[in-house]
Amino acid sequence: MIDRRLWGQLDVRLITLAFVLMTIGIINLYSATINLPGGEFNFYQRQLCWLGIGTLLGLLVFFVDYRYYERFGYHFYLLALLAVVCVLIYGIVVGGGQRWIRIGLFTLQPSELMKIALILALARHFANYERREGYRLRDLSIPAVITMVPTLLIAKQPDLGTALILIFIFLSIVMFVKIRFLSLLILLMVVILATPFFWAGMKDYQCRRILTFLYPDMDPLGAGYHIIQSKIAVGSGGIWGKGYLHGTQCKLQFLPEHHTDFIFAVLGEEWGFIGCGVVLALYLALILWGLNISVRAKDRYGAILAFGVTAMIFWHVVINIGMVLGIMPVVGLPLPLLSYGGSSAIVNLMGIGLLLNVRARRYIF
Amino acid sequence: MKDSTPYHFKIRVFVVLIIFVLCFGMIVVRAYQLQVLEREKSVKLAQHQYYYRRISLSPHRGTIYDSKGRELAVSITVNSLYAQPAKIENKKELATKLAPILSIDAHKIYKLLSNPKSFVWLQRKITPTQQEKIEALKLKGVGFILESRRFYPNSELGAHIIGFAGMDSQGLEGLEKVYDKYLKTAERYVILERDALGRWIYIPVKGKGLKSPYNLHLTLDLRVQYIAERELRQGVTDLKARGGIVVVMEPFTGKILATAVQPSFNPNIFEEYSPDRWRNRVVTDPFEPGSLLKIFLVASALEEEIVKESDIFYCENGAYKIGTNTIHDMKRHGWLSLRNIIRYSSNIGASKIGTRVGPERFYHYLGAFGFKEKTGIDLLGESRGCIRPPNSWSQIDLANISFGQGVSATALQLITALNCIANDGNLMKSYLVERITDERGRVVVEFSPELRRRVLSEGTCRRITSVLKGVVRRGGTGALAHLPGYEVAGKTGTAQKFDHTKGGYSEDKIIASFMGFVPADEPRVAILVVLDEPTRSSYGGVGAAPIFKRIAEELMRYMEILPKEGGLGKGINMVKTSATRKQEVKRERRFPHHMMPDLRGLCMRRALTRLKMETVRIRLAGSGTLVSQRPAPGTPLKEGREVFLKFAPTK
Repeated sequence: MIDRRLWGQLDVRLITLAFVLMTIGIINLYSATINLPGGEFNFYQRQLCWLGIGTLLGLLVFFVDYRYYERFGYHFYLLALLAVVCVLIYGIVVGGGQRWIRIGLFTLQPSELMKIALILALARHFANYERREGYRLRDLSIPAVITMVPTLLIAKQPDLGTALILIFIFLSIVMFVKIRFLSLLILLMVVILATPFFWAGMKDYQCRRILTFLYPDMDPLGAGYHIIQSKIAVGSGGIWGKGYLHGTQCKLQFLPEHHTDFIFAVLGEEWGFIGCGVVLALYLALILWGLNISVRAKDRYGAILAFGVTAMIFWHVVINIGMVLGIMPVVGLPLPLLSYGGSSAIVNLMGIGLLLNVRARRYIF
Repeated sequence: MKDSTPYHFKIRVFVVLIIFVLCFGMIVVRAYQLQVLEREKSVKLAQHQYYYRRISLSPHRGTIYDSKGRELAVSITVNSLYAQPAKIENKKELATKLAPILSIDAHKIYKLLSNPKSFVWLQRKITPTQQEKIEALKLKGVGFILESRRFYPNSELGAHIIGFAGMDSQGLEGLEKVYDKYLKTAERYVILERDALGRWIYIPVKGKGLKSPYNLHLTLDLRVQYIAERELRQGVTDLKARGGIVVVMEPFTGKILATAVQPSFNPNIFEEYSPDRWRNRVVTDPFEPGSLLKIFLVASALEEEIVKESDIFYCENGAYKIGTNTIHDMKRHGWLSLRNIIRYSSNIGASKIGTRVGPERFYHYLGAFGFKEKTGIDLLGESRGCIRPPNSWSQIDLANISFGQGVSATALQLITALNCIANDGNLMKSYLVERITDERGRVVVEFSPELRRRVLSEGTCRRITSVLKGVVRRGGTGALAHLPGYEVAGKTGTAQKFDHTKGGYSEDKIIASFMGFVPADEPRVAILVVLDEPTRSSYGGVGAAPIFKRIAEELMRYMEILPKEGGLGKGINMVKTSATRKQEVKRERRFPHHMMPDLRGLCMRRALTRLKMETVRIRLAGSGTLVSQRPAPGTPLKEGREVFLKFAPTK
């Protein structure tokens, strides 16, 4: 199962990209949390610890041949689903959402793990049932159920961001595995028609977030506060930024949650347009490389798996940064490898591990 | 990927690639728009928000103490009342409820509450009773924030020196302003922010600057200040004067012990007085010193050995014509010695001495005494007076200046110059602050006596002192300043005020003054009394001298300076006594305050008197004269230090 030759098959480019992003993340987190009371350890120290654990788990994921994942795909999925159900029953309520469960000393967000589990399950399904002429709508019923069950459970927590990401992962994979054009149109129609029902099911504050995204000046001190503050922080950075550790908007705590979901605002304020550009370029390189890995995978399962992971990272980056820049509604999504948060760090590094896995075994039959 | 139709697969991958790149491109364009195109807007918004939501609180200020550690200005914590208009449902009702408590018009409060701002001060620094009443109302949308308020426990006492601080704890006048950066802590303010639930949260922020304020220790003695102010106020009322000034100074050091200015003001409610009341006229307002200036004329004449005390001058029987002008004396005098010219304050005699000295030399000495420059005291708005250069003096100008008309000087310049004579010809820098300490009492800055220059020889000083003593004796113009048991050296002054409406000197508006030091041969205090336009009795000798006397009398008691043996000091054995005393004085001068003096050779009583000013524990052994002492002379004396004195019988 574990082959020593695999060390030589580690993709240096992908590892370098991930490592650079993690380093930027820690440096930026240090500046963002310098004024926050950190408890026993500082935020960046704790994040270093999480990244370490994530790297180890990522390596573990890399060493196990992904064909085992194919075989046990549904098992992982069911385990993750069980965890999500557990959260709804035993979870810890933080900031209005019941999203965490306690495992020993740590708290984990099973909804994060659900992202990987869903990718594994969908890849398994689409790899086993191939339709050369493209999937029809009725062929999508099983994957749709696979997706909607955890989505609804997570939306109930409520964690709108993660629920959306699951739907986006599903739609991306469906696009990738070939769907009939007509079916695609119908699917999009369904999504659009379902929106009002979704709206009705949403919590009050979620509705407000969407509304304030559309009209941020409607309530500048209330729901629109985040967007306005975040735009001010990023905008006041200018081309070159205010300099490392010299940001004021985030430091003076005008912008809440600037170390988790709004970490990109700190980066934009202190490093300016140049810094934003560099980080975006790094993310784009990571995503395009992921796409490349997917295209060159040796089998259909590997391709779908790699694409699922790539899509997951892509949607996180686009939605998170779009939200910070005020072109997407505020949904609580972390920025991969940059935001503070243990579960997110672990899941993203496991995802990188899966990409490395598919890449390393592209010639091995 | 194995796909049946590689062509279609490639298209799909290409579409995905395009979507990915487009999304990123959109983000980059948006970042460019925010950070480059609309940057100014964001920066402005950021600043606006920064200032708008920042509410300054008054910083704490250090305490100001007098030389004995009594509090002159303290900071107390008080509550300030604020409102959050957005949270108030019925603004009219709230305004009418608050109006009687705050004693502000309800309409005004309503106006404040209608402010669109999220935070307004309703009234800053309210009293505890007001606070209790407001708290009892249990109002929504109003609250209290702790602030610091300045309080002057002695009200008017020393108000002109201490000055006052404003609503934001900024020093506005006097020492409060001069030493603002030491007294004030860093700026404090709160930042207001709303959390996700719409509650206000305060983030207290401290700016750059001191964490805890420093304390000021003044040379001022509250007791001396009290005596000076009481007597001056009494004198001003009795004589129906417009105002007056008293300055008390310590000759050896230049320390100012008290300065009283009438009319005064209460710094706790300074805004209720017109701003000209705040002015410390001791330094800001020069006036024509009149006969006081004769002291310095005589000093220059004696120092230059142009005249002797016994030289006689013809005083023209009261009227002396110089060119077209005539100068007058109050009384007609024939021939007068220099000693008597000063004693009777003859203007004609003074003008004749002035002619002997000559304009250049006189001008030079006036400058040396500090009349051409600021004294450099740590107060704001000091004036340097006015003396025209000697090449523009005509003969009548020289005569006038000789008796102090046609020149002006501040009260502080005059007392500093007199001090120079009391201090053996050493012109000291006058100062008000002894030291600045931090919150733990450690000294941050220390000020020590500073010699500006040496003006006269010791011998000349002794001779002038003896001339000035004559003024206070029976028959002299300053006889009312005579202090039983002590010898006083002093001079009266009566100056006509320049009347700008008439364009000449006024007949009835005068400035009456007296200045002197006591005891004459071992001066401990120099005192200047100035009365502005007294209406009851218009001469310095009649008006100001008694005030001087009353202040000096009480100061002698307070400072525990024993009267001279022999009671009324008729001058018996005077030469001898003065010589021996002079030696002691010199010894003391070498070791100023808070230093162990050289007590060897003194009797027990003298030695103890000398140590009375120090807060030390004294241990005595033996009797007779002091043979050994511990610590050695010149050692700094800290509070509570043990001093050991050993006496032995004289052979």
